[in-house]
Amino acid sequence: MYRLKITALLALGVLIVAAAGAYWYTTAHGFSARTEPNPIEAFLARKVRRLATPSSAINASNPLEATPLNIAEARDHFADHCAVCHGNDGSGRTPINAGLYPPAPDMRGPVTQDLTDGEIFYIIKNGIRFTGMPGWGGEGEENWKLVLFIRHLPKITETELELMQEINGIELASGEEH
Amino acid sequence: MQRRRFLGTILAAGGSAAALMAHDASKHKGKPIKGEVTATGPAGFDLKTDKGVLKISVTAKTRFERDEEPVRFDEISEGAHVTVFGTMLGDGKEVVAKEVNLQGAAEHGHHGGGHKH
Repeated sequence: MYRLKITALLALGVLIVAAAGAYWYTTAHGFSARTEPNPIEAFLARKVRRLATPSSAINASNPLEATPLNIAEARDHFADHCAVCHGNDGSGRTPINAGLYPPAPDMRGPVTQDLTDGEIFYIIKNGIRFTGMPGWGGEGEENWKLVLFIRHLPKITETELELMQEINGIELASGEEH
Repeated sequence: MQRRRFLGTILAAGGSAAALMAHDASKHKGKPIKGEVTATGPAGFDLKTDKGVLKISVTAKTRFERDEEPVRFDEISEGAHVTVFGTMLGDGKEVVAKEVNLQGAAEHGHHGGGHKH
């Protein structure tokens, strides 16, 4: 009985400290979307997102081949709909992304590239809650083609970036800080 | 009054979002590319443009038109002026055509062609 009381008191203490910490963190940082999520928050958010993704979606494989035409069609689609936030090169260096909380990741890096094809498809279709990523819907080819293009982003060429710029006028990503 | 304005704003935003979501990427025809046909082959043709010669590939899905009327692929001959809508491949040298518009009046009897209605 005594042990139970001690455990309950300890749990209550931990809860009070956590609540006080959360209160301090929130009031100290405000609700600006221009700050970066801290690493713990980002880690937990990604874990929760993965847990919330159905395993059938995670294990889904891309039915399309990475042909030059499929990648090119997705490139034009990406330029038209996605690049305004993600940038033509997927780096996320855009004025809109600079003000998003959390910001879209650099899609060329492991945060995106380590996802399965099915996870990327699921995110394109359903979006991600509490972020700027909308769910675009659709079941079919266009989303799978976008997955092919996202896989292609780490090796995108200058010519491809120029073709995208012709479509959307978005300048090539630079090293500038937003 | 304020409530009505709020509802109007919500409906307008919803409508815009629905229009955005409804956009079908497969409808993209691509930017128009104008030029003169310099060579033809079974799978496409070469097109001389302001930016150089491009290889234009056609597929079973490519549509060919003159004055918004369908024509046949074999009506495209050397010297023809065409506008091509399609997808430029990543090399920047080849376009897979979704639509080819022939310019100018039809040359009846040429290639045994003519309008296909």
